[in-house]
Amino acid sequence: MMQKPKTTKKLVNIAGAKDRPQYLSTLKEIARSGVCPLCTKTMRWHTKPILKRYRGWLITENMNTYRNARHHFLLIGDKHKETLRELTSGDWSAISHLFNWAIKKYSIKGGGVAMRFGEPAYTGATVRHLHAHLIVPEFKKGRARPINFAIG
Amino acid sequence: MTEQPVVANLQYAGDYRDRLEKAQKSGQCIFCTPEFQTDTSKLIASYRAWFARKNDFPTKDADGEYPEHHILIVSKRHERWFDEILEPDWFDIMALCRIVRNTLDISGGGLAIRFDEPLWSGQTILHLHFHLIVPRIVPDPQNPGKSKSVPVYFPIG
Repeated sequence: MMQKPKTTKKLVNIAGAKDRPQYLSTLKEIARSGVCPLCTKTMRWHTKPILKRYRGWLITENMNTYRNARHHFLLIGDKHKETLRELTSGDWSAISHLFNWAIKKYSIKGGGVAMRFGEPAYTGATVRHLHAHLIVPEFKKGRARPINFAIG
Repeated sequence: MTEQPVVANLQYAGDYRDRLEKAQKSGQCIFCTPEFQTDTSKLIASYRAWFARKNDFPTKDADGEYPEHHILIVSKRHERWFDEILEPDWFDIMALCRIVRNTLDISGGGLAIRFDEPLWSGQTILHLHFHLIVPRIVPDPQNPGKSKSVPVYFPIG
């Protein structure tokens, strides 16, 4: 009988970065440290500036911008939450505020918002701490250059 | 002569180009039709201003197969722009995510939306909707007896 993907309580999922050597090396270091890389007090691996904070959430640039992205922002909550059901209406209000702030601030015409949830073994997420991606494609010769957001 | 409202973006149409063309000609948004909103063979749940429904045209995964689930979470009102999603809407969307997860016994996946100008986002139906995608789990040939998920690449742009 086929086993289901292993579920763990590990804070990072190294397998999700197997195709990105530099990120993989960082994730291994984070795994050894045993702390969450997106919790405020232990966010030391993230060296990009915090662009704005709002009611317990922040927006920053992704350290590992996806190919073909003109902008790739991450929205991260201060509190360690791992499941969608933990997010309150206050969280969604803050997330929505920061999305709309970025869209206006960077004159974003269109793009995508995405988040992975649940077991990283199913989703391909590299960090368990819930975070949302705001991704805007590069635009050349009248066309957007597509970005593939992997789920799984 | 009045201009037809733009309800669909044909540039990125795949399997459902004919449906988009028909919608564009008639000016009738596919997601606004009663058939779409109430088809009980596809509808999973309805909650206040939004509903969750199986996607008629799921995105294929890296192996060219359909994912375990590809659900659309759609606004009942015809709204187009990201800043039209207000706090009560987020509450409804999350409630529907919970219902879908419980109904379909989902362990994990992704939630995504393309927003605003379709030329930038790649959106095909210009009506606010989220995609809830759950990848397939298959045997892992490199680890006999174990399994792995097959990624779905959700295109943006």
